[in-house]
Amino acid sequence: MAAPVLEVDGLVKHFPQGRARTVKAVNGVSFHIDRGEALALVGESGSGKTTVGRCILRLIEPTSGRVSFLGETITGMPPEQFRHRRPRIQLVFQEPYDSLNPRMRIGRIIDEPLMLARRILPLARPARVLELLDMVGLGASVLNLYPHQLSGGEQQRVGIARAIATEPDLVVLDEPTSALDVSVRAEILDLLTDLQERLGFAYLFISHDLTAVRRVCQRVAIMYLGKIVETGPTDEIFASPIHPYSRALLSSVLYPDPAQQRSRFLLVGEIPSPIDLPAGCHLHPRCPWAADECIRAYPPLEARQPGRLAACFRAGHEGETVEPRAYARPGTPG
Amino acid sequence: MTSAAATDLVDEEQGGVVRAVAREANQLWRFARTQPGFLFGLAVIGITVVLALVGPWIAPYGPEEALPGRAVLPPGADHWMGTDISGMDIFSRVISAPRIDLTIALISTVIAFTAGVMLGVVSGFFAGAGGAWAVVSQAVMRGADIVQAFPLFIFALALVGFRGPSMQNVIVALAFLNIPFFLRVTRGAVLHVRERPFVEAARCAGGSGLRIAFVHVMPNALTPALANLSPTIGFSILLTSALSFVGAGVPIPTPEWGSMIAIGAPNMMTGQWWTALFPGLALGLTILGYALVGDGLSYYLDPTHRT
Amino acid sequence: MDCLLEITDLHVEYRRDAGHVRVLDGVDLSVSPGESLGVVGESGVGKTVLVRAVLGLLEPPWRISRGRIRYDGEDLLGRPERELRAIRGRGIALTTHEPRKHLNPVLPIGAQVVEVVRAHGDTGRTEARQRALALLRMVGFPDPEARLSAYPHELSGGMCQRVIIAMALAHSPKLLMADEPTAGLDVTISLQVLDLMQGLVRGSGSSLLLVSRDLGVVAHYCQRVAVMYQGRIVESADVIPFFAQATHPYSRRLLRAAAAARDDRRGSAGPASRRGDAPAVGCAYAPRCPVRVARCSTEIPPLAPVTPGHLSRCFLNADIAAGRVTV
Repeated sequence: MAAPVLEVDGLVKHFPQGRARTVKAVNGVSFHIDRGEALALVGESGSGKTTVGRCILRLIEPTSGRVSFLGETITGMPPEQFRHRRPRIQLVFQEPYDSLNPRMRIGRIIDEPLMLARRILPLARPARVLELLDMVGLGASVLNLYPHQLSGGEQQRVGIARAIATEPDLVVLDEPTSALDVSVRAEILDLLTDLQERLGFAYLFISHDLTAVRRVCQRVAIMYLGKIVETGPTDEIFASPIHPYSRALLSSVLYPDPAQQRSRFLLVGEIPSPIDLPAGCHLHPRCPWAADECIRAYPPLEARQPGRLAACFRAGHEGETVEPRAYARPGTPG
Repeated sequence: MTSAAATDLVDEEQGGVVRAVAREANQLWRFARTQPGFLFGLAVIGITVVLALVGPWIAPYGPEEALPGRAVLPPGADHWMGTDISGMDIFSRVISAPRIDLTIALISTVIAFTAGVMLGVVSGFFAGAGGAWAVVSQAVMRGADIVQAFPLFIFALALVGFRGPSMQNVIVALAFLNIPFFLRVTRGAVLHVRERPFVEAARCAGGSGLRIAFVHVMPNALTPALANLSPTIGFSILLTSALSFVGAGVPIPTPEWGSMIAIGAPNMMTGQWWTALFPGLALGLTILGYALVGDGLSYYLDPTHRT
Repeated sequence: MDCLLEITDLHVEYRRDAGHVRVLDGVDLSVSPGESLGVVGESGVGKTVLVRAVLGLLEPPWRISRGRIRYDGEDLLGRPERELRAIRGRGIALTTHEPRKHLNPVLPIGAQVVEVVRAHGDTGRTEARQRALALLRMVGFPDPEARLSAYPHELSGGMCQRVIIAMALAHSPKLLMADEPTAGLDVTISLQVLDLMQGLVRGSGSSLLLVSRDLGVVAHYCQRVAVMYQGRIVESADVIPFFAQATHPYSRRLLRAAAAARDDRRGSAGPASRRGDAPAVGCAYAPRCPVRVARCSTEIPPLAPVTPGHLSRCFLNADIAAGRVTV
């Protein structure tokens, strides 16, 4: 069994804001990604999923926890040393236009990681740039264009070409299709699956869009307020989610089909701020299944079935006599 | 696609640059036509540049030529703007002055711009980052604070008074004074630009701090500094004149609007208005013109105004 | 009068130095009392411009160059500002896709809701405050008293949107136009907002014009759909027939892309449209249409019925509907 490409162990990131307040963005997240696998990190705002991605890339430094990439611990590595690892972990951004330097031509944008990685000869670089453009479905005609001259979908393809230029082992995708129109999303998702099949890198796909995730990823980890609440194979989670938050997320997916059976699992109230995390299970103020035990302690992430982990005391017991609450408690936001 | 094809595309890029510049100039001209103030300012810049280049040669009299017996003559056929107390033709001196003023203003502004922008980029990019560079950033900002804490003119006076009046000293003083302004304006832009995703992307690509600061951030943060080039030149002309007015600028016989005003001012008491008015008008219109160009350019460069 | 709102052949253009850009190129739309209509289209197609045109909120360089807008039987275009103001908020209300930006950041929301309540007619201050509290409760704030003094930046995106909805419904308008009400909101919150809006509108018998990029939202919250492409309505139908049997090639493409994005099914739908690409003559979709004929590039197809109530702007309507042509 080959070693995982990425291992995250107890990752924590807190942002102090002034003296008394801390934004607890990530509160102990652990997962791994195997070679060639695509794992989705799903959550809404405040879940911490974007922060996890940034910590893995060391664009921000974790407060504590360990990240190891290709068997090597990268947390705590001196920045200069890590810079040499960068060609092997790359990032595709959410905003297609803003992730490209508006004053640089496309050719130069894609060439830059090649130039900095110094892995291929300078004479071979133009050919490699053309090869990358071809791989993402763009013609050589965009080489001399500026980003604003391309459509959103094309800009994102450039971002993808740039990310795979140095043949990374892991590509982190931060909401790669959220800013694109629906008709373009499918193309980009297809492209991503294609590239993964051909080139064999692993994906960490960060998104709030469950439908996009389903197309690309084999496994899903669902996050809420800085912790993972459920993981498992994509199809299984879609078919039978265990954690109430997963159920709510899935029931909020509106398919373009008026006849769709909607499970209508509603959470009440607003998402709490990561500064004031609720005690015990973070979902309890909004959860229709909440009971006293949910306030006392945070449920551990445990295996419920082979390959499926969930963090909930009440899952599986929801049919019991505790009265589901119809409204948020006083004092909670909403 | 072969490398030959790739090189062809690169060649096309060189030609493309020229075409791109021409297109930009055309757009700027079309914009200028709708802004009368901007046009006036451009005309002023044009005239001052021409005068700076050929002023002394086309002048009817030598700019420092004192004509005996022709002191304080009113404007007339021989002397379009009259003569001053030493018998020097005012018109010749007025059109010879831009050479001095503009040279001083241009050189000092270019120095201030270059140094201010570079310092602004460094101090903005590494602000709050921690480590050696952050200390540099702080030091630079505090230095700028100190320079800006002094009233501008007094500081200029002190610098020049300390080293004596001469063109070089005025240039150094003005450059030094204007650096904090370009510094702050660029730093502000840098603080914004560095938050944009493409800067993060450059980090992911493996760029080092300095590289990202100067290759990625700086070109995108130049707009405020560029828009202020013209007004700063105008302001420098004003400062030069002010320094010369109090005798701390260029030495006396050199034609310079400020010193001309100083020489001619006593005459105004006795009713000989032309000795100070003409250089004063020239100075005022010139600074106005440069400021209007600055306004027009910053309006033009502001992306929210462009369709 | 059958229709509450009737828009006929609306043309809106945008003037620049280099000429003008046609943003709306002949929009035909109608909303009946009590009906909820979804207007779907990709970004840049003119949906926001459309809603603002209805309320007379377009200022130069935007210009309505042709067309008619009738509300409750009366023409809206060319009406004096005074009369339009009476209609805004009272007859027709608008919510926005940027709720936080449309709230005054330096005023507490209580004051802003009260201001809207008092905008039409003389409601005393105490009465207005009571009404504001009732409105905030209606949109789901369990403790409205506490919210009155909150500032917009203290509220989440979803809460700001609820405040906007409260303000929009303050005078029980007959028509609520919702411009992308869930833009930027988390999915679980979006659902709350949509359910709220639908419940309130149904409860008062008002009509809803819901502008969205999301076909899923339209499928579940609207009775009728109108598809917009490059400034024109290309198809309009009841929701169930639309999702089962859309006729216009562009609608088909949108539906396929939306369905593909959710399934494991492969297959994308072709190149995306870009703003400003509309040809000057003929059908706007012709350059990209897989089944275009010669006529499509020279004439603009009319919005013609395929079946009663189902209109489509395509010369090949009947053929596509009958299955003689596959798109």
